[in-house]
Amino acid sequence: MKCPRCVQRIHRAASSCPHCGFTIEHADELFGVDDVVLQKFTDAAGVLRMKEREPMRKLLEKFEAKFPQLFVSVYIGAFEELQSLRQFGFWLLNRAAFSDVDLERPNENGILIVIDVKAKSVGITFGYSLMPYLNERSTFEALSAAHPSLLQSEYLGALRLMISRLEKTLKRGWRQVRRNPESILLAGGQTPKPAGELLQKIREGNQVPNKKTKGSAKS
Amino acid sequence: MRWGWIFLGGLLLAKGQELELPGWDEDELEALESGNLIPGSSLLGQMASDYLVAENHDLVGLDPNARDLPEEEAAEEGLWVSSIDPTFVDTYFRTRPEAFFVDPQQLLTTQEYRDRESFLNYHARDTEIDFYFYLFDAQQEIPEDESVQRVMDDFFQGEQAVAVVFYYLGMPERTRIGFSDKVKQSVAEEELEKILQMSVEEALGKSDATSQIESFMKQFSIRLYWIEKIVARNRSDGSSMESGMLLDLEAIPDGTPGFFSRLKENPVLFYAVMVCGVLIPAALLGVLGRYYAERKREYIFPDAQGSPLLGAPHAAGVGGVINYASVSLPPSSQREEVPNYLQRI
Repeated sequence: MKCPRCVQRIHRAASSCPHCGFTIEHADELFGVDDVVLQKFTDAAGVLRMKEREPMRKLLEKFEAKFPQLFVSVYIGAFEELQSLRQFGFWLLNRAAFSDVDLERPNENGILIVIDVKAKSVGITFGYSLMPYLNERSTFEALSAAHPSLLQSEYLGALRLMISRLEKTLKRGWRQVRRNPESILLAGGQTPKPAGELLQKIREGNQVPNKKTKGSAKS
Repeated sequence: MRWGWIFLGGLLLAKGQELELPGWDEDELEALESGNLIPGSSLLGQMASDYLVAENHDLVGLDPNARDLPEEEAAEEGLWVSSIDPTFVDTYFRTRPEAFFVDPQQLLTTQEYRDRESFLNYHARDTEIDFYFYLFDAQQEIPEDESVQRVMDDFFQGEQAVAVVFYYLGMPERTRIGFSDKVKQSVAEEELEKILQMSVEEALGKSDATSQIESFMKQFSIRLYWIEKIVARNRSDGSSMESGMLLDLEAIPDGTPGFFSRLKENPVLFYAVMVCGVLIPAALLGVLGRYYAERKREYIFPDAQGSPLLGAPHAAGVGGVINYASVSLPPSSQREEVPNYLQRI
């Protein structure tokens, strides 16, 4: 596990980064403390053609059909002064309420792909539930697979490759966790959740913003 | 529309070139009016002309001789060549044939000859009993001192197993057969005669001579094949075939040996068919089924919980970041692992 600001390794239970002291509040200071309502696919930079939007939507739906608990969200922006893509991804997945994502899929089960078309960089952030299955290396492999398409600004193709690679990694993790759930979950800093707690979590929900708005994403 | 105009144009053109009707010339018209010319008289002949000119029109009797058609000459007895030209006798009876099909008189066309010969060659490759087929004309008679058995004795007796057939074109019922001793020792004489009888019956089912030969050969070949199989089976059982031992030929399937029969006898073929026909499709079905199941499979992860990191309520999984600004650098060189405050430096 790495800190989104100093990119140093941190303990799985660290409430703040022992190297730079980073917490979610620091990200809130940068991007705003309020929750942001988003759709799971947001092309703020306008790089996808109209005819590419429908295949993009189907791509995300296909992922959700295969992984009924998970979802993938894509945010494409052209940021003027984005200080850190990691911090932005980290903040967005914690503060975003995805209006077109089922309640059964909380942000803990989400994967967020952020593309900064101005700085030409892409980053992946994922929720707590996916920590046993994804890590920096596997997500970087997914990004590397899409690198040729990114170089040609073929964003739909790049996202297709990224998601495909992430699916393979998740399937591998699914097989491993079936064989040995305890150790795999522990390795990702997770423990099996008692029945009933998930329902409580869903009821609480993170879909509807109920915090007081102070600002919005600076994009 | 265009074709309509073309058709109309063609009609107008044809109308312009229409032939004129014949007309009387003046001399003929005068002759007609004077009664010297009777229309049609030149076609009907003098008798019609006289009849028309005559005052009383009695019935004209035809010449009785004209009614008697000349009798057809009776078919000459002995039109068929019954004897074999001496130039062919040597080829038929004095030399060992070089091919399985013997037709020195060229009674069949070249193509028919080749077809039949290729069939006999195929038969020879497929079975142990070779089959020599001598073709004669329908009414031809074998010289008195020649016979199937003599040909067999002169040229084929030392062979493993041979059948010789003297066949008469268009007259299958005149066919004579001979077998080498190797065959006769294994199969009863009655059964060999039965083979001939069945083959002739098969040939007579056809109307033309060439098809008769084809049917005869096929049936004869099939019967020989089954004779061979039965003999082989009896040998493997240890029961030696004695002369005169009857074989139940009625039990032999009518027609070419079935595919499954050959399959049972040939283990290589059996395994090849098993692999190609069963295992490969089964494997393909398995792969397709697995592919379909994988496509439809849902991956459900166990519910888990953990302590929040960095105060984040939902997500603290910070994954990789990659740049794609340079087309020359590989992805690994464009991995972003430097904190933003160092990037500013």
